Order: sequence, then structure tokens, then C-alpha cells
Amino acid sequence: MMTVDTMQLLSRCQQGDSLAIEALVRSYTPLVYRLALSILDDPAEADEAAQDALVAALSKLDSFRGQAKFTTWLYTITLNVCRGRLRKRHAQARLVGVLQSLFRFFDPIEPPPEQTTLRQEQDAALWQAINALDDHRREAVILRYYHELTLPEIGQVLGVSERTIRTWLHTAHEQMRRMLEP
Amino acid sequence: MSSTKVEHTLSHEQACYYLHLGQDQLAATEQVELDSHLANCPDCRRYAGEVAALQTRLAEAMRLYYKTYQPSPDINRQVQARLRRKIRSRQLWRLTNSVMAAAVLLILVVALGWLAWRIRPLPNTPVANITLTAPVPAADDWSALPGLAIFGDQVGPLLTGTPPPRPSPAPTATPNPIPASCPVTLPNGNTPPGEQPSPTYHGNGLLWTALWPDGLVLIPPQMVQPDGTLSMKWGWWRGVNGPLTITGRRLDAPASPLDAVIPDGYGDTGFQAGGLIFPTEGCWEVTGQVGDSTLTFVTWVVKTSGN
Repeated sequence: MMTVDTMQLLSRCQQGDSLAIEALVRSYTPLVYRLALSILDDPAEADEAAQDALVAALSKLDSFRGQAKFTTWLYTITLNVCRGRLRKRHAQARLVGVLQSLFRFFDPIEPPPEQTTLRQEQDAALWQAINALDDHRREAVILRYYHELTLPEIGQVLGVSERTIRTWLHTAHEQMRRMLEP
Repeated sequence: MSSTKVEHTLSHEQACYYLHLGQDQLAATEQVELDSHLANCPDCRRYAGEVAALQTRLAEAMRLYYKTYQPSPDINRQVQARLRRKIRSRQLWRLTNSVMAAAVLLILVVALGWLAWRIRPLPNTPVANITLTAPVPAADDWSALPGLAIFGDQVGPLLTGTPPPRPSPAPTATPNPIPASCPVTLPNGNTPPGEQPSPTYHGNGLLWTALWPDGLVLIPPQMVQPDGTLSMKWGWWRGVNGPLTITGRRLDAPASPLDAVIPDGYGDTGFQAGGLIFPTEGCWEVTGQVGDSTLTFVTWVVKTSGN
């Protein structure tokens, strides 16, 4: 499951070797950040979430049994961190929605202009279809097509069976295809 | 052979389902089934093209969009700093816990020690050598002194030494409860000069004695004399010069007066061994006197069945 180098690196991190920790953080930051960004869709928050996930992973390295790939384990931690942030964000959005309906003077929440423009340039309809998926299916699609995880790996990260992942991907495709039909 | 067989078993819906998973994610048998179906189904081939296009579009769109952003270059330093803080706070937490545990343990030990000291049993036997102010005969000789033979083995320990803190009641004793009408004297803790403090001492600055716990004198069977009288060793200390005399009377019923044995040889002052002879059980008032000084106490006397 793991290379000897990774095992040695993890072992040194567990012993508190600061050079090893630095090496591990440097190696896995892009991966963790990309996942956080793809789930949270906010670069600044993805940065914080990546830090949270790396600190959490390094703090409980002793609970990593080596039964799965280290990256799969790291994905799981990152995803949990992101889900926590999404829950908080949804709660804040609900609160703002309530306040807006009460006072009517807040600006509606919209993504930053540059982000909107970029998406419009790329494929607004496709992103609309992706964002219309529920959280589980969107996570499965992102893990499959952006992070290129296999179906069993996606199942491990999301904590469900491979059969469930197959069903989620199938229904996600169907839904997106219908939305993208001219 | 087998591909022909599966060709008939895979439906269009199943073929669509497989297509959505991506061909590289199928098991070998599933791939064979799908290929066989596609070879003979133009609609599914067209659908496969749509799905593949969607998958490619998805992957490309995500890759293009997300590659715009990069993690902060500072992230490594920030993670290291947060880890250091976490380790420090964990160490501090452990240290605090250890200190608190040690403090709790110390308090517990002190509390238990104090409790043990408070409820400790009174010693049954002499615990230290007494400093006698007058020359006394050897211990072996005391039982031979006139009038003390009746005390038998009980005399030795009394006269060899020592402040006589009174014994605790024997486990086999079945003492009668002391009636409220008997105003027994409890020791006031006044310690004779030169002795180790003990709560069994009772005195008035001129004369001292040691009293039994709770004012209850337990007479074991071997101290019951053939004539039915009850004898008990008794120690006194004199702060004034002169011979000790002991008198006593029963308070709760008519009875002969108390008798006492006071051996010679203890000098004019300091410790004086003696023995009290109670004619009966009951409530007794005992008075020791040296010159004009007296010390009186009241005690309840009862026979026991054990030693």
C-alpha cells in the first residue's frame, strides 16, 4: 500500500522530526489544497482548510494503520475538515438569508466577480450542472474527474461502498446530462 | 462463446450504467459484457460517445478552473507553527494534569493520615519507660510485695514502667451501658510532669492518674478475687510530697467502702503504683489524697467475660 519512503517519512514525523514534517507538508500540500478548493470553491478558505487538515493529520498520525493508501487517508481527513466548514458556511448563509428577509438591505450573496467571469468563460452551464448536484454526488464527481480516484478509493474516502459510488456517479451523470441538453 | 452469452443478458439500462462508471473502472467481465453489447447496439454506442464527451468535459473544466489557484507559499510555515503550539499546549496540559494529580494525592495522603491519627486505637500496653523519681525495686519483686499478690501478673507491667494509658475494651467484653445516673469522669488530658502526653491522663496540677476510656472499668475474670471483690491496678503521680491514700464509695447502691493497696518504695513524690479493690460492680467515686491535695473521679465498674 505504501512505499518505503512514505513509511519512513511518516515514522520520522511521528517521532517529531521537524525536517520530516516539513517534507511531508511540502509533498502533500498541493493535493490537500486542491481537494479543499474543489469542495469549498473558495481559495482563501481552502488555504485554511488545508492547514487544518495537515495539522489534524500530523496530530493523529499514530491512528494511521497503513491499511489504505496514505493519500486516501489524507483525503478522508481533508474532506471531513471541508464538510465541517461547509456546514458552518450553510448555517451562516441561512442566518444571512433570514436577516435579508427581515431587513432587505443586505446585498445578495454572489460569488466574487472574477470567479463568475472565469466560469462564464469556461463553461457556465457545466458548472451550474455540477453545483446543482447534492453534496455526496458532487464530491464523488470531483474525486473521480478532478482528483482521478478509482471507485474503490472514492468509496474509502467518502465512507460508503463501491456500489453506492457507482449509483451516485450514474445518477449524477444522468442529472448533468439532462441539464446540459440543448 | 461467453461473449455471445452475455450479449443477450446485458440490457440497455445496464450498458448505460456501465458507461457512466468509465470504462477503466469496470471489472474484466463487465468490460466484456459492455463491449459485446456496444458492438451490436448503435444507440448505446452513440450514448457512449455522449457520456465520454461529458466525462472529458468535466475533467477538463475542473482542471482548468482549479489550476488557477495555488496554495499559499506560507502554508508550510503556518502548519509548523500550529503544530508547535499544539505540542506546547499538550505538554502544558499534561504538566498541569500531573501537578493537579500530585496535589490531589498529597491532600488525600494528608487527609488519610490525619484521619488515621484521629481514630487510632489507644495503646493497650505501656509504650515507654517511665522516669521514676524514687528508687523502686526490680520488676520481678513487685508481686511479692505485701498486699499486691492479689494482682498477680497484672502488677508487673504497671510497676515496670510507664505511663499507663488505659486499655481499650476487650473484644469479648460485654459491658453494661453506663446509666445516666452515674456521672463518670472523663480524662481531662492533664499530663503528669515528665510523661508523654496522652488523652487518658487526668489530673489537677498536684495529683494525676490515668482513667479508663469512657469512664468504664472492665474487670477480667482473673481479677475477680475468691471473695468476689474486683481488683484493678491503678497508677498515680504525686506533685506534692507525702504518702498517697485512696478512699472510695459506691454512689448508686449501698456497698462496703473501696479498699486499696499502696506499696511502699516509691518515695515521697512522683509515680506511685497502686491497686483498687472494688467490693462490687457499679458506680464508684474514688479519691486519692496526698496531704491536703485530693483528686477525685467517678467510674463505672463492670465484670467482663473475656480477658
